[in-house]
Amino acid sequence: MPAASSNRLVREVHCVAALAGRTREDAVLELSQRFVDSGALDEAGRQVLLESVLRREDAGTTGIGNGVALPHPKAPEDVRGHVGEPLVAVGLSAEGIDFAAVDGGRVHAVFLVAAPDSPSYLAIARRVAGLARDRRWPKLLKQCRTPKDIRELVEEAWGEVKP
Amino acid sequence: MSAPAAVRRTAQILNASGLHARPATQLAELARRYTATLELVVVEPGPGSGAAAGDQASAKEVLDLILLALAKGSTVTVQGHGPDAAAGVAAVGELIDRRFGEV
Repeated sequence: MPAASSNRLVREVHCVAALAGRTREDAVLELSQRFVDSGALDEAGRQVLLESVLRREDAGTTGIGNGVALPHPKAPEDVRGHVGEPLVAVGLSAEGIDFAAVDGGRVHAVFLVAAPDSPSYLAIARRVAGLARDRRWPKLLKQCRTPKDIRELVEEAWGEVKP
Repeated sequence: MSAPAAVRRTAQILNASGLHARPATQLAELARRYTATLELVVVEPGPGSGAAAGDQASAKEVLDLILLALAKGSTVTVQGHGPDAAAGVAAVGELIDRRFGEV
């Protein structure tokens, strides 16, 4: 794996241009599988992540509005032993996913976050909220056809962010 | 007719994970019950926060609140203008004081 790619907060191998599932569970399952496929997370870590993320969703939606959700572990401690540096997987869905979002809308971009500490999580949430608030966001999102498009869109908005 | 004075109150973010998605959502849902304009103004950001002193956000907008990325230890002013501003500021301040029900 080239170093340049693994140094990125959002890696192409962690991006899905068209999520197969229609539920938030499906979306989280599919995105977490990307972490396993790339070797960023082992299967045990994935199980811990899934359990914590779904517990977090039960406590209140992470669908923060404008078609964006950022599912994440209920507590960073839950995944700390499994995640070295912050991981973000991005999945898009043209049809939209029901996340019971705060604005009642369907979610078209899911950012699955696995960060080992609160400051990393706050910083990532800030970047995701910034994207979601961008007026050009819905149009930009529709132009994403490949994982590369997603990675480029995010990097352009965030700068070439390192974890 | 003169505009009524703003209602203000200071609060400190004390929950371990700061003003992340769930507290921001809780806060916005609470603030939206009031007709008054309700805002958070950052007095002193806690270590690791995204916001700087003086940054502000509508307390009714989840995305604006998340953008502040306020870490534990941050101090904010809750301010409101409008007929039910006193009640709104008190309620929002209390939610922050109660650590959003977190530890």
